[in-house]
Amino acid sequence: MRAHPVDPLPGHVIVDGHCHLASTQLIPEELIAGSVRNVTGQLQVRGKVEPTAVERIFRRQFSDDSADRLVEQMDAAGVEVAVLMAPDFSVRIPGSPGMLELAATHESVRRRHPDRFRVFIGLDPRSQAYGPGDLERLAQQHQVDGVKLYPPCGFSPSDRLMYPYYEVCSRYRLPVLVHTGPTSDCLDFSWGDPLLLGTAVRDFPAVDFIIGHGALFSWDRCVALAKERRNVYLDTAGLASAPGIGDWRAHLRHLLALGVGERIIFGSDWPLARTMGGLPWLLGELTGGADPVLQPGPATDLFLGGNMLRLLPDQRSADATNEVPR
Amino acid sequence: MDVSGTEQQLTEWVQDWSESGAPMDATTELRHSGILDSIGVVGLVARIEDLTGATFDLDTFDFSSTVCVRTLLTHCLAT
Repeated sequence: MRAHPVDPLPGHVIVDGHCHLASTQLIPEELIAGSVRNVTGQLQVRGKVEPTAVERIFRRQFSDDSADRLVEQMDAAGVEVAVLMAPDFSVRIPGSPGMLELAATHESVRRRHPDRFRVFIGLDPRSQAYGPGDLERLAQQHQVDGVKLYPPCGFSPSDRLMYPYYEVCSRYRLPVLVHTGPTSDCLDFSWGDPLLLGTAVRDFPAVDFIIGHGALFSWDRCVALAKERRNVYLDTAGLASAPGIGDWRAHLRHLLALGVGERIIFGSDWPLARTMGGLPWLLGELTGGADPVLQPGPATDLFLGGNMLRLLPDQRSADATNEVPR
Repeated sequence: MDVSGTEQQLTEWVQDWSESGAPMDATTELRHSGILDSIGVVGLVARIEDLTGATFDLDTFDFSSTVCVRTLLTHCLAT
């Protein structure tokens, strides 16, 4: 195990299960503009800020093309591995990178920082630029560790077009993370309902599905789905910086006490919360200080790393797998 | 520039944002006390840049230290 300047949980691996490569090269302009409008709108409700100022700061957070800054953050926070989510907007926003380009970009980052990143590759089942065979090839070449879906681009995760891809996921034991909840206002929020996963999780019991942002939006539905289906997980991406969630620390404690703790995955949604201090701040809030959100113990180990590790393709026999019956 | 006056303006901005009514000044930690969420911090940094005409360097600010109006403003003016 790598020695870190900070080690919140000595002897245990911390995995950030939901990060992004913070690069404007990967995020379409239309999406950035929509996200800026979201933030500006929340500030302007209180008459607080000029849109141009928000845009300046927003763009500054997406200037880490090679993930060097992210690795610095991981080291400072004691995070061993981060899972990079690479959403594919190419069908909804032509000109933006599709699955194959995203795979190449993320592979170069992974080679630059050996052993630090796993990649969930984005795909849109309507794309004509690639197909399930390409996903299979990427899996065989160990360039991908899972799939990332972004339904607000205009499709359901239970669409039959997805099924050939899910067959590949089942064969190569690739977990599938599905974005849920609001997003940039240029996309369609109605596809962000976690219950749209219902048919897919039933039809592919051998595929593990992670509800992205499931701890924030419609969290009660996500918890219900996780209780009903053993192949359903949810993550906390964006929890600490979500407006309207109230006291996120109390909310997380509540969630972890609902009997699905072995299905909740820690994720920061980096570069979100960068202006709060990023990963060191977040891990400090979770495990440090006078009143940490998490207490030392097996449940915390699973949440901060074990749950994600046992889903990743070549980690199925890791110790964490044996701790929780599946 | 009138640093003290700018601090006062920014402190009022934060008080207005937080709506908590809790007493605070330019040295009050803004995150641990829950006064500002991430959107609020973006708004505050934007306000600092607007008032000073300077650019806030996210990469070099020491987030492990106290995050308050004074440290944010000082950092922005120094870069």
